[in-house]
Amino acid sequence: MQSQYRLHKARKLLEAADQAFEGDETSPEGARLMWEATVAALSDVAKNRGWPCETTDDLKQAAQRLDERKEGYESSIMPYPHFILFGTAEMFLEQSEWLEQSEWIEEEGESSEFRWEDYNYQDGRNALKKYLSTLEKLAQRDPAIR
Amino acid sequence: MNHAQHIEAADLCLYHAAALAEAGVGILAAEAMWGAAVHVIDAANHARGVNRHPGSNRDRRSILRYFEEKYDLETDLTNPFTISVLHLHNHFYTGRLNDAELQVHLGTGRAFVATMFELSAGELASD
Repeated sequence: MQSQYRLHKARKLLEAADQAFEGDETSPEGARLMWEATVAALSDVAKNRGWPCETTDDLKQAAQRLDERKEGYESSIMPYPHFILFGTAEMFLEQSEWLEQSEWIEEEGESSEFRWEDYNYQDGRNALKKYLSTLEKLAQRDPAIR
Repeated sequence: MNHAQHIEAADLCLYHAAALAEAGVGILAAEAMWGAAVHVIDAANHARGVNRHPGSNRDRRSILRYFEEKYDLETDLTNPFTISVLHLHNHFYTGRLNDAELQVHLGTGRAFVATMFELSAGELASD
């Protein structure tokens, strides 16, 4: 029941992110929600397996463990897909924090080395949506929620 | 720069990325890997017959999309470039990656560059 609640939570967060991005494709709130949805989904997989998932470092280790087993990405030509996709979520969080520090934007103007372009948001959102589906499948096939 | 020059530059960057990582100079290793990725994409662009220099990373993303569509690779090229390689480029300025993260992103960078070398060579061979 707990796991189903967490899956529900990840999906709700993703829907809320979509809504936030509807009016503003670089919404800081949307970016933060993308991070939170990914954390919820990966935590779900980790909890089912009894892995630690309290901190960001715990979740990075969980991602690495999934990569070691090549779970969900058996045919990927790139190594470490879980770690990279979790890193994408982390970049959403960084963008959110950066955009909320408005005084920096005023000082540095609209363009910055660190500010994402619109296509970074599009790519990141598409990638994380697929990633959350992959995590959901992994969570559903774990014995804990059958 | 032409195709051969971009390939040579990518090779050189890749060599230095490995050497700098081995020497523990992570910040420079990260930027060298970024350089290898950019040069190998530009080489692949020449290989497909487009000799105009990409004006931005947005253009490079379009080049990667071309190869993804041609070889049915989904987002196996754009994700590593716009996510992992970008992490490395940002690390040059911020030093934010820890050692483990740096190794993972360098590993993805190596795989990305190796894949692009292959695609670039395949594109030339198909002419």
